[in-house]
Amino acid sequence: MSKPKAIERVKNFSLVVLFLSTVLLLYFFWGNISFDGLKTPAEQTAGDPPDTVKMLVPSQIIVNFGAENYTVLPPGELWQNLTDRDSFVEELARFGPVENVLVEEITYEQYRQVREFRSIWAEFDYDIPFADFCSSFHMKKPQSYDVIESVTKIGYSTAEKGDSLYVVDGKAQKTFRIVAAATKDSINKTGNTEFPAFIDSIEANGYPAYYPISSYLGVSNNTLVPLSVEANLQSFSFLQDTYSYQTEKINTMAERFFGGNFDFVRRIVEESGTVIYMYGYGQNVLIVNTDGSMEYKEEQVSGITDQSFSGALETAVKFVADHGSWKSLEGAEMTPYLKDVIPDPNGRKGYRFLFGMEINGTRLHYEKGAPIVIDVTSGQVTYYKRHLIDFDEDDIKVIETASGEEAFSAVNLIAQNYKYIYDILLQAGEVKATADQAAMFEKVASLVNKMEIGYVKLADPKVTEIQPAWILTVYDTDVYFNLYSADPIGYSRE
Amino acid sequence: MKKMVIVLVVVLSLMFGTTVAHAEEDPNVVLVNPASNSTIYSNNLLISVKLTQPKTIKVSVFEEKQIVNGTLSAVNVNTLTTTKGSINNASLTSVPVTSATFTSKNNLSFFTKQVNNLKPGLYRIRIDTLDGSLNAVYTSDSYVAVKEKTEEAEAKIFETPQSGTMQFLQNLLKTIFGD
Repeated sequence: MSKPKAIERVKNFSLVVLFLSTVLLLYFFWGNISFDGLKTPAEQTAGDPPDTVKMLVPSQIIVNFGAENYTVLPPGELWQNLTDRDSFVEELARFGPVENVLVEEITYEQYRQVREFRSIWAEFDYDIPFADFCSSFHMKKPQSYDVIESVTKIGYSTAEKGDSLYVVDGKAQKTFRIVAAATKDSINKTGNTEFPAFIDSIEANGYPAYYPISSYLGVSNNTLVPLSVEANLQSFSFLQDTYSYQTEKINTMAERFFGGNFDFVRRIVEESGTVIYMYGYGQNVLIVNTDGSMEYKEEQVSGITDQSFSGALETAVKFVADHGSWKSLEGAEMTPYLKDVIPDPNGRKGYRFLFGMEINGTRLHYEKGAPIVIDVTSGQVTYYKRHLIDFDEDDIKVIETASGEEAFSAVNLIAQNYKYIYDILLQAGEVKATADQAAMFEKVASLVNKMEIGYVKLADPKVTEIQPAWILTVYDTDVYFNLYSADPIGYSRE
Repeated sequence: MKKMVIVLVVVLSLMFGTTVAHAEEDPNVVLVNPASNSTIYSNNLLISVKLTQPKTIKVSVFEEKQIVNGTLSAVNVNTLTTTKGSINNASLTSVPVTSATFTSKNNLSFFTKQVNNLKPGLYRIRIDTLDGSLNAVYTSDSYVAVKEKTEEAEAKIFETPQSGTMQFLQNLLKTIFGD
């Protein structure tokens, strides 16, 4: 080949390459397409999104062993176990067969009666659409189940022989009984599930004793509280996920939200230290607050109107994984769980998901807000607030290997703090002012609807420690007390 | 003679004074659970005592037994009779089960204790209010009968379940004609 001919070929090839590059660049800039789309799936996701089903956990599991013996247990492996051990979810999957199932609405009085028998109950803090509940937990769903709209509580009771499940539909304010006939190869000959053996195994393993508040305090209240609790929780220091001065870290995070459009994003730093990133006339806005939280808002553009609860949850979980991950930005691991669900936020079709975090199996409560809040409306993430904390995981391990300490008595916490709780309720307009202390005590004692222990992050930015606490719930108010002294430390209202 | 009368009066007043005090119940110490003279069907007993003043109390549980054929045996609670809240059986022997002392520094507090592994029988819960020298200044007794938990009879809470086919038809009709 002669030299001039070779040069011509190189020129032609260069022209073709330049032309193709021009077309490609115009395609990206005019099409407003993010470069993220070119990345491999592994690069796109900062961390693998957690399994959404693992996030659907009840707030508590209540077991009635009969003869006035009760316990309340954290869901953990009791709810869903990946090993060979039995679990609530495994028993639900055994329920059936679908061909011979009776679904009937029952009265609240009938529901109350079945709860008095040896039974086990999973109680959620929100309503899960029944179709999504069945598909998530592999529960067979015949057509007759359609009368049940959602699940807030589900349980098994020995009140009746055979397989009977009881469902509380909090959304429709109804209670249901689902009865399945036993098949010929049923293991226990009365039904396909082994709930009785499951309850037996929990009893055999030992459990903390719980009694209704009525038994301790002589007031009308069936809420179960523990006789005594031994805990090994202690305060520990935490850091914010971001600080205003960490410009590079914040910019890197912001790039995840705006992708290829990041060069066209305006960055505004307010006097307070808040950093605002804005694209266009406000279609996409990211605000990095001085308390370490980030808020992202996106204009609604998609029009998927029939996204299911599970579909919306998956969209939310993946979005978080792609935009900051489910860990702290420095990598501190926590276990996320779905804490609350608000349907149709701001009047838009979809869901607001509030996620909580567990640290070594203990729930972390926020005096203000939640670790993750995300709106999925019409199939699109339109709001996302991330307020995670960073901490040294080794510190927690050291603290929690220490021997347990007796927590303050739950009933004496109420006796010691009823005036404080009454004042909070008074400010919220939930109760009327009175000078009668006995009446105040009786009112508070009869209104307590949950008591649990956990970690608390207070809203005051000067507090740099996560504290172990008793969390007492009355109406929609969580009141926090020092776990060991019962001194009040704060409260939050939903 | 006069001295003898004074000594006698002092001795008698001390004797009866103490007896009267022992018979009195402390108005600021109330047994919330179990209810007095009640029956429980469990082998565990929750004791809850409400104190409405800073006090020191001693809570003791005794099993009341009776001699049957020369040996101490549990009382058959089905044969017991009561009159105005008192047990009509003079030949009971108290066997201590457990006791605990509790001091409250608040104007409202609760003493709670679970007594486990109780066998069927008659039990007495004694609450003593103690003074600074740990002497009882008030005493109250309550009885509770513990009975064997009988096998839970199948509840007649619901009607006989219908077959799946019937349910399907019923749902179909409901879908067509509404509820």
